[in-house]
Amino acid sequence: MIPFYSINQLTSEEKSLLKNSRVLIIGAGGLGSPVAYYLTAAGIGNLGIVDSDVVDLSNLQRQILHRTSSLGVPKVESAVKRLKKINPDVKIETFNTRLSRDNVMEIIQGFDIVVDAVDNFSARYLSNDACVIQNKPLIEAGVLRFDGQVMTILPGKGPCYRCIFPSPPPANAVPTCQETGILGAVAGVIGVVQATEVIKLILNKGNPLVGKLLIFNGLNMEFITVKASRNPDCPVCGDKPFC
Amino acid sequence: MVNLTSEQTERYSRNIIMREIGGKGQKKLLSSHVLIIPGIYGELFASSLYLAAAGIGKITVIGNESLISYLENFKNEVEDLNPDVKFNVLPETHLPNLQSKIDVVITTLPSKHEYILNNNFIRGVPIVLGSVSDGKGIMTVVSDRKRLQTYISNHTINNLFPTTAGFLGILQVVETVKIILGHKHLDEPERLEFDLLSMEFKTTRRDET
Repeated sequence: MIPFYSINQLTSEEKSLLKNSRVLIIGAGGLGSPVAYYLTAAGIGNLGIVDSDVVDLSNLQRQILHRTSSLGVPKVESAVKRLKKINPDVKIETFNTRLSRDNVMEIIQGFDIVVDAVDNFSARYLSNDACVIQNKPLIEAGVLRFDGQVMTILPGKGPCYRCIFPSPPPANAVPTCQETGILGAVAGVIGVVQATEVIKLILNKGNPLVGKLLIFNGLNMEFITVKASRNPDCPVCGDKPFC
Repeated sequence: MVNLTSEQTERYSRNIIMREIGGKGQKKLLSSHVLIIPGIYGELFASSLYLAAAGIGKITVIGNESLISYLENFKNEVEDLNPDVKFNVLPETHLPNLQSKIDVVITTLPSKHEYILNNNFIRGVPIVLGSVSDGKGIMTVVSDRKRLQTYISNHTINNLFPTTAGFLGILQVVETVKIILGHKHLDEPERLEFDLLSMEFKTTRRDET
């Protein structure tokens, strides 16, 4: 057997904490793939995966969870197949649906931590708002071209997405990966950071990116951290929220 | 170089659309050969999948007998992810007989660096070198393989955090792609140092070293 040093070096208490945790990954694409892989490999016992898409040829340039033999298959199904090979004991609940106002609250309810691995702003704001309302940690990230960014949202303890970006940009103001491109490995780097944040929260180890936006520039191979604070007037997590 | 097929144009569309890659760059990736000399093994899975996703035409992994048999299924996974890619696992003894020219070597300590130091056909090939311990790591690109010694001596892998090796392995792919495309990349003593637990990062540039 190959010595997977890292997994063998977790204490039995740490392995137990990971096994008993429930993590939801919204999106099984460029970010969701490495997140799902690494959380499964680390021994997370319960995963939820949300994605309404099917596997497409252009996905395979970065979505390492999928295969040429799974073209046309729902991404959540393809994801389960791959993840069970890494850990046959992992329990995976799949949601072959698009996240919406009607389902987000119910979907996230059964999980301890949520990972935002989406590629559109409406889902981003939906998951942010729902996680703040339900007081669940959310690991938020985005990638484009050779760059990416990650932050960890602990509702009430640090800024939420809206503290920094109060409302979604106008339609078509921000380009998508389809229009501008993304290097697969850059999505991989950011996804692994997201998985790392999840594991750190569960094991209560290290310093999570709370109140910090980590920005990666792949062409310069640089990571910088920008500090951000909670906005007391934030419409969702502020002192007087909308709801 | 052969033209991209329409399937390849679709598969690699997110690469091709970027001016740093384009159709020309994609063809370079498809005709390149990356050699992986693994160290802790965790990094090799991440590297291989992302190299294959990018369209690196040939990936060779050097290992011992147990690694070779373990990777038999993994080879199918990699080639199912991308049938344009040839993924081969070879025993250590085959190294001197490798037919095709190597464009980049990826290695992570405690790999068998002797292969690099003692094999002349790797002379002049850029080496994307990594080293990890707990949540920390270092990555650099070495062109003069004698410089490896500096990194080899002080190496330990205590308390490796579950994502450290994968993080390094994927960063190594980013540098490898930049090298193959002819873009500016880290050049030893320039290096990236990271700590995933404290989320501290430092990229050291030539004028600062």
